[in-house]
Amino acid sequence: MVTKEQFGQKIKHIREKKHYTVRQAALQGNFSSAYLSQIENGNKNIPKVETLYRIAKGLRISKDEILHIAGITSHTAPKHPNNVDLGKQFADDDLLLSFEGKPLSPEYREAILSILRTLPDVDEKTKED
Amino acid sequence: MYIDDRISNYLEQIVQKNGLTLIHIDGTELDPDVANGRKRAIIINNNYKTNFSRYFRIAHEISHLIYTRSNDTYAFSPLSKLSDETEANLHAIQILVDFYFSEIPLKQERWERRFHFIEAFGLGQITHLVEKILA
Repeated sequence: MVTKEQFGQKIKHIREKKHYTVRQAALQGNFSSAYLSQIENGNKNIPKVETLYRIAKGLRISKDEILHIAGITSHTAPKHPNNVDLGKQFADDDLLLSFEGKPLSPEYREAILSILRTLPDVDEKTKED
Repeated sequence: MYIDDRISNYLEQIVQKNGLTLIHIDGTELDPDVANGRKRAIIINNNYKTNFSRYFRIAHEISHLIYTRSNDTYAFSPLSKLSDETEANLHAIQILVDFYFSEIPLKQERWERRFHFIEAFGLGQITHLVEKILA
């Protein structure tokens, strides 16, 4: 579990390491400087996935990385990192079942895929057991 | 222990026993929950707007992974979506019935309390399926 304070500190650390000002990062990610300051100071809850992606854009880091920093994927990181090609699997919508059969928006779909990529395949799970 | 804790534990046990992964995320109100067979993973969107209760939604996705994906012929049938969804709903109801009525073995008594059950899990839209299970 990542607290909003820890999240904010980490975001600030990355921004400073990259020598971006708050204003610059905000411009790059299309959100206000005030919002980013609040995030960095731990005065805002960890945002929703699509907002996380904007922050990622602002800091020029990957979507996977921001999900990891936000603690969304940290506890599910695979023990043995592997390069799973999900392209073929997700070409077929049917394999990504959604509740009530509802379609997924592109952003949400991308978030789901980022999470799934961090998980081992069923075969590997069985092996680990 | 409150009912919320007990049912959470109950569902968590099913998740673990079947080697599934359950993840909660914050999407928008329109983003539905998702299940993926290859990863045996269930992703629940905390903000999804629906009348169905969270517990039913989890039970529904568990059912997809445990029951409805076992036969590939279903997956490629043109009617797969419909039959899979209905089947997942029926299994999900059964999972919740086993929990909710664990101390009420009599069919008649269960039937009489079906509307409490429907209300508890937000199943108004699929009353007919609940009645099918409890009949």
